[in-house]
Amino acid sequence: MNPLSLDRINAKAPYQVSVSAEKGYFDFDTWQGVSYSISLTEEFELGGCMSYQIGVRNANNKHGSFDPKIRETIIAILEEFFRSNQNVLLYVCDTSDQREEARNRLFIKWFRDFAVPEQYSFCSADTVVEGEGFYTAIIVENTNPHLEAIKQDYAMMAEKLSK
Amino acid sequence: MEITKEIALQRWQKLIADKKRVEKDMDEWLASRMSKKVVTA
Repeated sequence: MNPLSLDRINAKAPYQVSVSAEKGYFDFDTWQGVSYSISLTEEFELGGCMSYQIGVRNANNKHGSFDPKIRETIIAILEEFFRSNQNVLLYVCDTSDQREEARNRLFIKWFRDFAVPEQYSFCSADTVVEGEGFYTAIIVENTNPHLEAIKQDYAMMAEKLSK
Repeated sequence: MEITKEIALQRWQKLIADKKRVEKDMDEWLASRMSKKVVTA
């Protein structure tokens, strides 16, 4: 993955984002003192294009919907991801974990809202792996030359383990 | 490349294993960040 520009992220993000040299996570703190970390983990090729799984965690698993600056900061990181890379963004959440349901719903909404159809393709699927239910989604830029192959690859992958 | 059920399963297993591993690591990382804040506050 090409490195993301912190300058460009911070030019847009309402909260100051830093990258931990030790972990490579994108970190920020909210005005209420809640610490967030965002991860981008390399996964596998989809349609000839590398995919990265995004992870979002906060220090005490608060809901966070009350603070629009959190969403805006995460969006600034996503925009920079796509600006610097022609890759696939992947999100996975555990649908069998009731405790995380509200948080998951919120993040899915943020990613859906981010992926405006004029600019991005958004595909999602529900799967069952070893008895556990998962919701997954990918976001790809419409200008990605591998777009159709990526969507086809993801659809086939999801279909094999669909609910 | 033909996506067989075996390949699909391997991919999903990797996604889920990475998700669990990274989330655990991030939780530890966040906890260490919070504890440093308490010390320096």
